[in-house]
Amino acid sequence: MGVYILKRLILAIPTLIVASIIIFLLVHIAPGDPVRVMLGPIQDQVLVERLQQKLGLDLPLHEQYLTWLGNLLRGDLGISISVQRGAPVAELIAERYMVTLELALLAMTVALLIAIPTGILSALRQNKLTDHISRVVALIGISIPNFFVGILLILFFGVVLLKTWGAGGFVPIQEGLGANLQRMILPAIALGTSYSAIVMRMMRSSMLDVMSKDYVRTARAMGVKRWSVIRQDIVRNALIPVVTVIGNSIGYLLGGSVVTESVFRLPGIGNLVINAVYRRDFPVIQAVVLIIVLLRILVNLVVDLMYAKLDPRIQYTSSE
Amino acid sequence: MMREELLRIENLVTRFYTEYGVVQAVDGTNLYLKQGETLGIVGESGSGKTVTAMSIMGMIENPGKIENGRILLKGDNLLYKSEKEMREIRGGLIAMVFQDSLSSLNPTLTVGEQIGRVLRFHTTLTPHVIHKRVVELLEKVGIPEPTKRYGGYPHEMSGGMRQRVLIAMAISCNPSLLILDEPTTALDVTIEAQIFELIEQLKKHFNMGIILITHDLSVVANTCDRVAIMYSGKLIEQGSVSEVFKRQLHPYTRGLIRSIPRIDGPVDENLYSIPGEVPDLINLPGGCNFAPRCAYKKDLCEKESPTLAEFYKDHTAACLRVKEIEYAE
Repeated sequence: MGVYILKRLILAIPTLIVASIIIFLLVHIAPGDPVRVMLGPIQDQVLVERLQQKLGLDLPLHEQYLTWLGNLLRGDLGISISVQRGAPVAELIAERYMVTLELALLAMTVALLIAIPTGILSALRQNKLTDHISRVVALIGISIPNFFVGILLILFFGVVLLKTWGAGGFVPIQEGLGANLQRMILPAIALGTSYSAIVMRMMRSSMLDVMSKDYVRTARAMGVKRWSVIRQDIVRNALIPVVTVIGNSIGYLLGGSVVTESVFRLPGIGNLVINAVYRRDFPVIQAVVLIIVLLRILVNLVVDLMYAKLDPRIQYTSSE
Repeated sequence: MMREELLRIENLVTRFYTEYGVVQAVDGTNLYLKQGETLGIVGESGSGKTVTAMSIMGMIENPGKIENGRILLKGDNLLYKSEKEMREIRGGLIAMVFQDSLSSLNPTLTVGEQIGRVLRFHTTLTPHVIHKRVVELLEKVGIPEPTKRYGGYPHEMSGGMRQRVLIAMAISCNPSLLILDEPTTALDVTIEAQIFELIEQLKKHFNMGIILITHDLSVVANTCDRVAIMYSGKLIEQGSVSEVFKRQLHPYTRGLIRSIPRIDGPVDENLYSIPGEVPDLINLPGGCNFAPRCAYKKDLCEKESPTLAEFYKDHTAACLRVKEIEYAE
């Protein structure tokens, strides 16, 4: 197992290098110049050139890339050019990432709390009323964009009920968990519902698939109690493919959800990256996207390891 | 030795109400089985053998329904039992082993857990005793290193070993009736022989009645006391194995026996096959179901549906022309 993890981590290095090249090129090829954004109305050619020189933007692309990569390897993510001029990118990201991480985990919790039980129930009552209702609700959940759910939540809690926390904003955990959760719960619901619909549908179809398996029939033929068949035979095996979907969803969520963060005015990573793009803050964009790639690789690894935990038929040996 | 009657099925009718129409899966079956006896149920796919077994188990699910008949286990009609009572009977008094041993075992539970939970639901034994019993059971069905195998998963075993695990699970609560649904179809011949040897031993040891569902008549000849032949949901011939192999009363049985390859037959002879196809169970032809394929059919066969009648001692058949065919040969 340890060797397997090590191998996967080593394999992540070329992936990261390729990703870094793509990110770098995309950012630099895209139209728009950070210097011109910085200068605003004062578009003086001499000034522009001087600033470009100062920021190293006048160097050939490959030199700029190698400098950036070299700094990365030393753990230096660079300095923000325009989002928060002069601030170290690492600090900016660390600050924002706590918000995104918390939102992602809460949203996933909300999603799973809704999705797993309804998925199970829906499959057990296939083609009955409960099933139809949960499927229609899931369809609606997938179809409604989460910013709309967010706006509805704000309207209801913030405007109709006049709750201060219903209007969005962010309170760091350090200033009290209760106050923090109060602000986080609505965005978590807004974001979680759409994922819950995806997971619920997957859970349902996976359950139905397992329910027709021979070992479920065997368990029944041996007089195993219904609840035990559901738990040990059906749900346990049905969860295996659902884990991939959950893993993927967490991967997406860790990339930050720009829309939900803006609707609820949360200073998350999605917000940061959008700001950085508007203002052409190259170091910030590059660092954030690269970190998202890295997290995605790690999440995939964790999902693969979970597989082995859930399914004894899968074994990771060093030969794989 | 007079053997006590264990199971009697009277006029069992099981239908499936599908969207394409009503499937007559089992149509008026009569069977009986004595304690310590092995009954082979033979027929092609769709002939109703498995549905008969599932009816005994009380495991006919929507859209299927048992519409008529009685299933008496030691005189007690199983069709009057509640689902809860049936659950106690399943795995307790009656156990069933299915065809494919790999798909019949839960891939994510250890072999020991799977056998152990059957004991847990049917007995009041403590976990410690259950663990001991499971190891004993594994040993009894001939699994080497039972203590080690207890914690193993199904995919780590061979097909023969897995079938032994299923048998261990089935006999764990000393059932009176063991139903085996093509238990060796997925296994090779040497393993098949070992499994049947094991079943024979266990039958003697526990004095169980066994119903063996198969489409292999040679297996029946080697392992069964009596045989019942099914065709398109109907029982068409029943008798002791020696009787039925000596003289076949029904033309279908005759065809089945003729289609067994003989080691002493001519080398270049093509294997006999019964012409035609199994009828559609939704649109049955009316009259005798076998009539369209029968070499001996007469006009009457297409109108009148034959019922089982006893022609020799403990040898019944459902054919209108038994006597005439017999004299014709």
